[in-house]
Amino acid sequence: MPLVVVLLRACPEQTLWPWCGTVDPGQMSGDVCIYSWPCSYYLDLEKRWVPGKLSLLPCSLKFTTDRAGEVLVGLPLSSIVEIRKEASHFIFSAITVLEKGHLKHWFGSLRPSRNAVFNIIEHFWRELLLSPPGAAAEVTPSPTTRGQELTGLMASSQRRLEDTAKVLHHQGEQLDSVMKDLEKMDSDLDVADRLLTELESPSWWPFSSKLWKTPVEVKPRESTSMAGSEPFGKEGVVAKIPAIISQRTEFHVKPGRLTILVSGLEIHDSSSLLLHRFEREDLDDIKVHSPYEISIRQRFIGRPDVAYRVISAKMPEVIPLLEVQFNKKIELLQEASVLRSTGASSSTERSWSFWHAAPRLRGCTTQRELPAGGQEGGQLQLQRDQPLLSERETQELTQILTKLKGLALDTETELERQDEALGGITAAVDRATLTVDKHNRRMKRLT
Amino acid sequence: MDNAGKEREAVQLMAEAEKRVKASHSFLRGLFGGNTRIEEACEMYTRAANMFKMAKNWSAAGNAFCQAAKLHMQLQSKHDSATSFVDAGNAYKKADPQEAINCLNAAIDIYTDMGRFTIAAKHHITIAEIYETELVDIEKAIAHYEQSADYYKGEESNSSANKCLLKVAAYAAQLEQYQKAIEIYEQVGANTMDNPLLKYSAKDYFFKAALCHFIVDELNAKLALEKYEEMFPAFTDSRECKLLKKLLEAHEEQNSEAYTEAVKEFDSISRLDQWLTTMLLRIKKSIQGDGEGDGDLK
Repeated sequence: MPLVVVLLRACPEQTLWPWCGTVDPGQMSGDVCIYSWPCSYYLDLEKRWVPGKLSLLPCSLKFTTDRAGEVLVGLPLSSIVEIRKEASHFIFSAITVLEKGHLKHWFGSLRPSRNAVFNIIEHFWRELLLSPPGAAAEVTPSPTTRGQELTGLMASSQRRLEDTAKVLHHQGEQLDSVMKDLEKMDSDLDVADRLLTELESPSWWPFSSKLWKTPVEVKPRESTSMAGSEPFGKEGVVAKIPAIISQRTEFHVKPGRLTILVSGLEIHDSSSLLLHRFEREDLDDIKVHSPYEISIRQRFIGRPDVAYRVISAKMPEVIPLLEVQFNKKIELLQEASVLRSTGASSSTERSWSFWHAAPRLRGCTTQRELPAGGQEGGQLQLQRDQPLLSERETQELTQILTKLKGLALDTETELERQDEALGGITAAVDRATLTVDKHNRRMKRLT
Repeated sequence: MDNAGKEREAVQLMAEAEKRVKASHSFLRGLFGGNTRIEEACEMYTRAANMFKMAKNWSAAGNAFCQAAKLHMQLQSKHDSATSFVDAGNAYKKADPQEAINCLNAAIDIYTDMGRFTIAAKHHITIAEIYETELVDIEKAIAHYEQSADYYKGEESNSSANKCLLKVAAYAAQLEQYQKAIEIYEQVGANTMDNPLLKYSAKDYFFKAALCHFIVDELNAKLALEKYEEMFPAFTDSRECKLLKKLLEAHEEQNSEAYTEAVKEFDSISRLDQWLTTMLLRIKKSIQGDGEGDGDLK
C-alpha cells in the first residue's frame, strides 16, 4: 500500500486507477487534487441531494456543486472522526464522513464505485497518521520481513481468538441465565402440581389430598438424595437446631426448634410440641434473608399461607443442607448471597492434549526452522545474508504463541462447561415439557 | 405489481377495524361483547400492518401496529401491547426514525413495568443505534447505551453491560469527554482481568484508557501506565504497552518522526481501527502543534 501512495504523490496527473474517474485539471492550479469523483451531497436543511464533485486534496476533502461551482464542504482530513459505508433509506449506497463536533456528511451516488472511493479516502486519512511529516514522502518502503509477516498473522489470529473468547463468555452467561429461569419454572410447576392435586379432590373432602389421591410420584432426580437417607436413623433426621420461630407477624417470636428431615421440615415449640410439618413436596419456597434467618412458606387454595420465620445462630450450618434438599425452592436474598460465592468455583480439570501439542509448536519458532521446502530453496539463498527471524521477533512470536495456547486452553474449559450446562438444560426442558403436558391433561379432566 | 392491491386491501382493513372500535364504544355501555370486538379490531390492525409491510409502506405499517398496541393495552394484555409497539418501531425505523424511537420507548415502559429488564435493555440498544446512525445525536445514543448497561448490570448479565459501556466510552472519547471514557475503560479492564476467558482482552481496555490519558496530559499517561502494569502484569508484555512507551518517549522529545515510525510498525502487524486512528492523530497533532502549527493543513 505505501508504494502506491508514493507513486501517487510523485505523479498526481496520471490516472493510476483508470476505473476511478479522471483528475479534474481545473483543480490542479492551486492545491494538488489527488482525486475527484462525481457524486451528490445531502443538504440537511433543505433535505435534498445536490449533484457535484467530491475532491480529495492531500490534506482535506472538498465538495463543489456542479451548477454554481461553490464549495459546500471543505474539511481537513485531520478532523475526520469516522468514515463509514452506509445506505440512505436502506437502498442507496453512500459514504458518510463524521467530522469532529459530530457533523455528518452524506455523499451518495458515487460514480465509479463506492468501495473504491471509500478505500482511497480512508487510506489517505490513515496515511496522515502513518506517513512521516513534511513533504519528504519519498521513503523507500522497507520490505516486510518474514518475521513481521508471521507476527502479523499470529497477532491477527490472536485477536480473532480473543473475540471468540468474548462471544463464548457471553454465551456462557446466557446459558446460565437460561438454566436459572428453568429452575424457577420447575419449582413453579411443582406448585402447580400440588394445587392441581388439591383441586382434583372434591371440595367437601376435609382431609389432606394425600389420602384421596395416589401419592405424588417421586421424581427420579430426587432419588439420589433419598438414597442417602439411611445413615440418618429411622425418621431420617438430618439436623436439629434450636431456633427462634415466628409465624407471620414478627411480634410473636418464641423459642423453638427446627428439624430437618429427609422427608421435610418440622417446627417444634420449646416444649417439643409439633407446630407444623412441611412435607418435602408441599413446601413452596424457602427464602434466606440473611445467613441467620430464613422464612418457609406453603401456599393453600382458599386459606391463608402457612409461613414461618426462623432465626437461628446455627443457621449457616443448616442452609447448605437446605440447599441440597430444596435446591430449586430456596431463594437467597441479597444479603445472603455471600453464601453462594463459596460454591462458585467450577471444575477446572483440563485435558492435556494441548500441553503436548504446544511445545512442538514453540520449538518450531525458536529453532528458526521454517519449512524450507525445495521450491523455496532459491529464495532462501537470496536472503541468506539477513536472518529470517530476528531475536526480537522470535521473542514476540513466542509470547504470542504462549498467549494463544493459554487462550485455547481456557476456551476449551469454558466449552466443556457450556456443554455440561447444555446437557442440564436439555434434561430440564424435557422434564418441564412432560410436566406441563401432564398438567394440561389433568386440567382438561377438571373442566 | 401486486403491491398496490395489497395496500388497498390493507386500507380497507384499517377502516373496518376503526369501525369495530367505534362500535365497541357504543356497545360497551350497555352490553358485554365489547371486548371481543376490540379483539377483532386488534387482529385486523395487525393484519393490515403486515400487508402494508408487504407493500413497503413503512409508516402506514408502523401506524397500524401502533393502533393494535393501544388496543392491546385497553384489553390489559401488556405483553401483546409491548410486542406490537416493538413491531411498530421496527416498521417506522425505515421511514421515520423519531417515531420509531417513540414506539420503542413505549415498549420499554411496558417491559420495565413488567420487570423484563433484559428485553428493555435490548430495545434501549436499538434506540441508541437509531440515534447513532440515523439521527446522529451521539449524546442521546450515549444516554441510551448507559441506561441499557444499567439494566443489564441489574440482571447480572455483565458481558452485555460491558459491551454497552464500551460503546459509551468510545463515543465519549470521540466527543472529547476523556475523563468519562477513562473511567469506563479502567472499570471494564479491572472487571475482565480476573476472568479466565476475558483477561486476554483486558490489555485493549487499558491501552485505550492510557491513550485517553495521553491526549489529556502526558504525565498522567505515564502514571496511568505504571498503575496498569502493576494491576495487570500481563499488560507489560503486550505490544500495546510497548507502543505506548515508545509513543510517550517520542512525545517527550517532540519527535514526530519517531512517533510515526512507532505507529507505523504497530499498524503493519495489526491494522489500527478508526477509533485508534482518530485518537493517535489527536496526539500527533499536539506534537506538531509546537513546531509547524496549522500551516501543515494548508
